[in-house]
Amino acid sequence: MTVVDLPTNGPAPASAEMASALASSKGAGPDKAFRGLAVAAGVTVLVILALITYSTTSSAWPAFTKYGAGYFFSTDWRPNQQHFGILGFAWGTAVISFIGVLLAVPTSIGIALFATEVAPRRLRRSITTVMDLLAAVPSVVFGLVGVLVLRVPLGKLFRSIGDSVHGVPVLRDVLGQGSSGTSLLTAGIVLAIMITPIITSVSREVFNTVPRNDKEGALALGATRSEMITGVVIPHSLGGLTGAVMLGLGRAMGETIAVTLLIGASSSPRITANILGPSDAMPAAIARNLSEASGDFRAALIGLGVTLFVITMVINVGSRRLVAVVDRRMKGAA
Amino acid sequence: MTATTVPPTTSVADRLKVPSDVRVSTIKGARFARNRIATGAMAAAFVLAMLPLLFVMGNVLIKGGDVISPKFLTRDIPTTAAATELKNDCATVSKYDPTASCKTSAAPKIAEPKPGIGPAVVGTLITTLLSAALAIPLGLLAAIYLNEYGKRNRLANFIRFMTDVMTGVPSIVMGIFIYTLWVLQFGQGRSALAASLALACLMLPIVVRSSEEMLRLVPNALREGSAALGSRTWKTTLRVVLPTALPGLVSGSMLAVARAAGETAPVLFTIGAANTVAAATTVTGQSTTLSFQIYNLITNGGKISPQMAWGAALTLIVLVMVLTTIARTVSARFTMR
Amino acid sequence: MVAVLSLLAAACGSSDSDGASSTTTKAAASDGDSTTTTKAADTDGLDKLSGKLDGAGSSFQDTFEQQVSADFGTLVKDAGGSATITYTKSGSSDGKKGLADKTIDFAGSDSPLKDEEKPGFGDRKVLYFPIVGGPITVAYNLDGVDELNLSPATIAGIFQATITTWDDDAIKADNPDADLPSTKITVVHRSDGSGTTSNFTKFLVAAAPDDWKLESGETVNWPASTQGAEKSTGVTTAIGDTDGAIGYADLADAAKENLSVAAIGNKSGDFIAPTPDSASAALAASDVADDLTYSPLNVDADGAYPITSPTWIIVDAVQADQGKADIIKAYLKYVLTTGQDQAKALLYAPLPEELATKAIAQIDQITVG
Repeated sequence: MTVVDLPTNGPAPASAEMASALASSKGAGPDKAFRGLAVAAGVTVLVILALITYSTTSSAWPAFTKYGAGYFFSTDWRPNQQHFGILGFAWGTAVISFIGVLLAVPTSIGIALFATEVAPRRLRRSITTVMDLLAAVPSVVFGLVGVLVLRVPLGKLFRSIGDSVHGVPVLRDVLGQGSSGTSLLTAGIVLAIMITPIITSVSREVFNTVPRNDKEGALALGATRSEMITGVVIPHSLGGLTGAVMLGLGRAMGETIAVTLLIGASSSPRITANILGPSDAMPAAIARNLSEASGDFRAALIGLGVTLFVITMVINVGSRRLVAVVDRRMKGAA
Repeated sequence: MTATTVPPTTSVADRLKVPSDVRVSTIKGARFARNRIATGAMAAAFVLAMLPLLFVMGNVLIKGGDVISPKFLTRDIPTTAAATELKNDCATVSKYDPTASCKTSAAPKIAEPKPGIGPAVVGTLITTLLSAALAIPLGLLAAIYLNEYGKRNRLANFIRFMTDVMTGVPSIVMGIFIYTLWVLQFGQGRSALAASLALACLMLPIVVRSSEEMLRLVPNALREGSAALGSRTWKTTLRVVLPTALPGLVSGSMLAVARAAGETAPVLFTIGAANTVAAATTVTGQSTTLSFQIYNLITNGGKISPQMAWGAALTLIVLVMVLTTIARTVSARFTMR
Repeated sequence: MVAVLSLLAAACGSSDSDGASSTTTKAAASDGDSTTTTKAADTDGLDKLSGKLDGAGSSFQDTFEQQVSADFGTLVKDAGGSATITYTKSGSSDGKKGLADKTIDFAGSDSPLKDEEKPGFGDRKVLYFPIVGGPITVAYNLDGVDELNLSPATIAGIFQATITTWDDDAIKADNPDADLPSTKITVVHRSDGSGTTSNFTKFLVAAAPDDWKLESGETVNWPASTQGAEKSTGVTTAIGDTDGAIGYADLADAAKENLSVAAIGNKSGDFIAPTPDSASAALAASDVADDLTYSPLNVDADGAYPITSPTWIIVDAVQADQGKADIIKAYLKYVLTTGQDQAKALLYAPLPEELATKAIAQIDQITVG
């Protein structure tokens, strides 16, 4: 009897295949049909992705060709005068994603470490539950709570912050002009909450792969738990953590509804460092305007979607590459 | 305890930068404090993440709980609420209209329309079920191809890679896709079906990847045993592999369904609108969903709209949480076995 | 003019009654002297109606449209027929697009078809039915200031963020008697494409051509320091939340938040407050084209509110289906006669008699083919 393969060894071994081949030719027809069906399903996935790419890109094409580089590198967005420069939206997306990741990463890694290294077994379960519940809250509900409960108090807070840093250089540029509770910062915080569960769960999986021997070895050498974590767990997991962060980043960039409701909806966002001021993000601009747009405006909005698609794809593929590289380096060092 | 001498060759110790003369008794003072602080920070991170959950849940439970009732879940969405609020408020109207007639002839108050989100409940069920019916069989078949037939061949690897790419596609792009292709190019108009197609696109890669994971967990001994008895791959897959993996497949699919039920972005441009349960009980006609309705209600203003938004939010959260919890329970059972 | 107002007053007396049938009889009676032909049509044939109409478009007319379509549904039901009319506020351009694609039966729009929208209709002829009008208010929230005059040039300065505090000289010049604080001005504008934005900016283009640089459109390039908000209600709630905020919204939405509304300088320099009556005066003074399109913005007439928005129901002149054509005709007739009673109660401006008569006459141009 062969030993059962490890789950990670995936595909059925050749022996099973050979056994089927050795079996009588009875059933070859249905098997071919079933195989054909399965192949067709697999190929359908490719076809759908190709269709998504083709359909959106061809609808956005007029905007790309007509406005060229200016479409990507200008902040001049005036739909009524046929000026379409998306840089302001890209900036908004970049800033809120950055804030989101900046806040979510330490929190998520902290929770993941707490769950894997510190917390007693019983508490681990409830940590998982809390993260699952947080992940299950629909985006629009965060938007609802943000708009109906937090917007007014946040607006007051932001205005008073804006007033108190009025004369301070630098700070007044970053925290000035807080006219309302909806802003880059508000959207960034909500994104942080929304991507925390995903970064946490991936980080946990990564931490669980750290060999027990290494950890126990470090403790045996007299390291404290925090030294064991910084010395063993983190270096071992660096590649996986990078992947987790990138995954969260990709999610943050594509997040639509909560951002639409909470970013302040400036109709022509500029490149600004003022995180308490209104801005707009790429998916939010699409959500707000696509239903009513026509002609070049529609093409320009779909172009925002295509650009977003490409950026998130690069991040996803890039994160895989990065994980592979970091993993190799870490293993080489070990 | 005696001092531990560190063998100079251990990479772990190198990384730790533990002084070679370190003694257990020195884990005190600064290092001890640092350890304490680090542990505290980790626990604090967990508490920090719980706060928004508690805050959101608390608000939705309290404010949504006030509104929710069987009737609220089945009643049509009132369309004349804004008009009625104005008509009943003579003081406000006459402030903005000096010649308002309500001042001279005191009109009887009109009964305020009752809040209801029946069409959104119906629409959510229809679009979610329909998208599941489209995405799950297709995704499962694709996963069967990947794990049972394709394995590590180039096509399978390519599909696997592209499925991962598709998982990362922002949900709003799925909405744009169906909007440009189905609604505009094919001229099909907005409908529950169009929204389901967009949601199915969102679910598909999740179903493929989670199903493949689950199929991979099925021990190969089972496949070999079946093959030894003369079964071909299709029979082995249908009779042995799928039944074994069933709980995992169900839980993975349910998580995908839960995700789809809560999504708004793919539905925005594809679903249209519906105010009556009768109108929402169609596949090819315009409809609405809970998430989409909440988005609309937030931007509606008035007195009744926020109430309805909270009620709809509670309904949606309960729906999504029930799906998620069932999925988690099933998968916990599965992995324990 | 006086005749119109008295007719309206008579009609409005019945507008609050809940039963649609009683509303009809009273309105029909008051219509008697002006349009005898419609009186009979109002109740005749409703029992034979059967089917549903889908409309979509302008959110400006939504409150009115929802009330009138619900009343019409009840009226038809009471007469023994059945007609369900649904209206979705998806925005004017979306409504026109839906009509072009034949996914809806009628479009609500605050603007006539634009040149780039016409190809979508091929050689189909559409008819414009004005249904009501209404003031677009400049609403604000400023502690201690309940009355405010704003000239078009000042509005242009505020919304372009060249005037940034409430005690600016330009605002003082418009309001010599007011005690204006030095509060910072927070401008709130619509972030979604909107017919209201389009008409508001069209007004500024017409009334302050030298000062207004942002041109007109459904979305314009607002200065970075201004705050966006979703829909009219988003704008009004944002204004309500913030001391020193100013924005534009229809009268009903401003009223729901109990905001102060500014009186706007007209062509002759008088400041006119936004009310249903001053908007009706603007409608009455506008030049109406043969296809019943017109612009009541910045008209030169006594007591006419300068930022008055028109709004239409647009339908295909040739309908494919007899049953649908019958419902459309009956519904339009209802909207243009009895339905007008609802306008003022919902803070819209009813159509002046002359325009209503022209619109009613145009209903006969709807044919089946």
